[in-house]
Parts: sequence; structure tokens; C-alpha cells
Amino acid sequence: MVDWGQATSVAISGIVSVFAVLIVLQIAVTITGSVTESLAKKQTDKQTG
Amino acid sequence: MEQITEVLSSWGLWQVTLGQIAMWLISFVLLYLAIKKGVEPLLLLPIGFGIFMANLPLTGLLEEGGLFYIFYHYGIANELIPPLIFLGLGAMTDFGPVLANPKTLLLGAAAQVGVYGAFLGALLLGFTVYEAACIGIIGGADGPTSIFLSANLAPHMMGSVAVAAYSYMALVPIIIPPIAKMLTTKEERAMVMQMTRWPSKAEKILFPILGALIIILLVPASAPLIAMFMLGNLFMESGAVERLTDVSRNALMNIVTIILGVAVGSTMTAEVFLTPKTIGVFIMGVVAFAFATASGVLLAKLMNLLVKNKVNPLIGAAGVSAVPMAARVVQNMGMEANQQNYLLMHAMGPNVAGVIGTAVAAGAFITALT
Repeated sequence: MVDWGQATSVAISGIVSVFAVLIVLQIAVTITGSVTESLAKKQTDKQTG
Repeated sequence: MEQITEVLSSWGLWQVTLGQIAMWLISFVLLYLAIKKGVEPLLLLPIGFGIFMANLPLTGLLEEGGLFYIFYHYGIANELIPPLIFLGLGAMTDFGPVLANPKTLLLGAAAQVGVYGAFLGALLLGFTVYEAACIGIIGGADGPTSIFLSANLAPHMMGSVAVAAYSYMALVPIIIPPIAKMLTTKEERAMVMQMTRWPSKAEKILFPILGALIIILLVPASAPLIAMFMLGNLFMESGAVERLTDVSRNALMNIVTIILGVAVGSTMTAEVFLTPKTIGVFIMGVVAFAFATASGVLLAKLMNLLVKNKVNPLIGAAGVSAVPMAARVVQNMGMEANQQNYLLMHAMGPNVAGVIGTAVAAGAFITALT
């Protein structure tokens, strides 16, 4: 006999975990990209200016 | 005379069962597919041969201390080999497309919705919750992760789950196109995407460290796979350890692939494999794959309603891992709709994100069920 309550909570907690991880990762990657890009731009400006 | 009778009676020939002969035939089909048709030969060939050997009587290969027992016990049951495969995969994976367009990470997550859809479907068919989790993960199209999860939750199903996962991965060019076509219009498939930026070397080096930190902090049970995946990637991106990168993606990968294949094949003895449940695994496996593909495409379409820089919804279909074949299929479909449409790099984003997503989904199953 399937415990549908447990099964549903496994599915929902799994989907939430996957999305939480990848959303946080997306935010972290976006911030890292912006920071490294602005640092690189500053360095280029310094060299040319 | 007595000695002759003794020798003759020790022959395995007299012990062969009909079930074992059926398993030989199955192993020959896998060997044929691998050798003649080129279907995932690196895995299906050792798996096929492992099945053949495991179904010969009186070999002692599967008994405690036997060779295949050692391969299985120390390689898979102890969770050693799948993470080592992930080390090699990490050393071959370019996260550039994900870093260039981080929202593609969400498409890798979307495909995992299909994994959970198939999980619930497998429960309806009468599988236990552990077996259903292993069947659902087939939709992630990631062989080592499927094996890793089966070793943890349902070792008796590992053989059928692994063969289903690798077979369907090889069938990506057949499974993805009809589903992706059904869910998109020709205009959507023809949509050209622009590469927004190229990530710097520093970003590529930071990613495996940042990725490991975030993923393992949120889902610690995914650590064996994610830790090695990110280590392999750090080897490659740092450029500081050429020898380690080389051995991870070549020699080590090849060695562990042989042991993995033989060990998985050796779990498929007649009494374990020839059951109605195996048919259920194959049916639900393709359902899992279809769900995962559809989820990726549908989330891409949903994203297009909400964001300014739209994506071609086809790249959502690459959210099932199957790297890089799923991305290549998407590229071909894009070009079919528009000859100037180069989607390969864009599709690689969800494709590698799918590897992470599937490993996280496996970790979430382990956390919830053990």
C-alpha cells in the first residue's frame, strides 16, 4: 500500500531542493559575473587612462 | 570411473537453466547494439559481457570473494565508482555556456520535474517508494547518478535501471524531437539566440568552488557526486594540474568505466532480472525521459513570458543531461527550422545544468528516503 502522503512530500521536497539549489547558484553566478566583469573593466580603464 | 563421473558432474553445463539462457540472449542483444550499432558502447559492451558471465553456472564470480563480487561490493555498493566517473565528467565539462547565461540553470532544474512525475507514476504501477525513486531518476538521463541512487535505495534494480538509463540516453535523438516539436511552434524553434558575453577565466575557476559550496550546503547527500564533479572541473579550469586533468578524463575514466560496466552487468542474474518489474522499469523509464524533456521545454516557454531576453524553448529539452547528445539534437532541430540558427552553445547551458540538477535530485531522494 503506497503512502501517498509520504510520496507527495518526497516529490515536493525534491523539486523544491532542486529549484532552490539552482536558483541560488544562478544568483551567485550572476553576481560573480558582474563583479569580475566590473573588476576587469576597472583594470582596463586604469591601463588605458 | 568414479573420478571421471566426478569431473563430468562438476561441469557447469549440467547446471544451466532456461533463465540463464534467456539472459545470454539479452547479453548478446546488448553486445550487438554496442558493437554493431554503436549504442553507448563504452558501457553496454562491458555490461553485456558482465551479464553473460554472471549467468554462467558454478563460476564463483558472484560469491563473496569472487571477482565480480569484489567489483560490485567495493566499487558500487561502497559508492566509489560513480563519484570517480563524475570526476572525469567534471574534467571534461565546460561551464562557459552556463556562466554566460545563468538563467539556463533553471532549465536544468525544470527537467527534474519530470523525474518526480515519473516517480509518482511508478508508485501507481505498484513499485515501492525506493524503486520508484530509482525509476524516476532515469529521466535525468545520467547513468552514473542512476547507478549511485540504485546502490543506495534499491540495489536489486540497479541492472535494469542502468541498462534503461543508458539505452534511453542513446535514444535521445529519437525521444526528444517529437516531444519538443509537439510543444513548440516553428517560429519558436527558429528563434535565434545571441551569445551575450564570454565568461572570464577567473569566473570559470571560481565556479566549481562556489558551486560545490552552494549545492553541498543545501543538499549534503549529493556531496559524493558534486564534490568529485567540481574537483574534476577545477582541475581542468585551473590549468595548474594538466596531468591530473588528463588522468581524470582519460585513464581513470576508462578504468572505472570497465569496472562499473562489468559490476552492473553482474547484478543482472536471471532470478533478479527476469521479472515483470523489469518491464515496468523500461516502460516508466521512457515516460520519465519524456516528462523531463517536456518539463524543460515548458519552463523555457514560461520563462519567455517573464523575461526580456527570450530563449529558444528548444534548449529546455537539453535540460535532461545526456551530455552532449541532447544539446546536439536541439542544435539539429533549431537548424531544421532556421538554417542560420546555431543553438549548440546555448543548449549546452541547460545540458550541463541538468547534470547538476539530476545529482541534486538523487541527493534529495536519499535525504528523504534514508
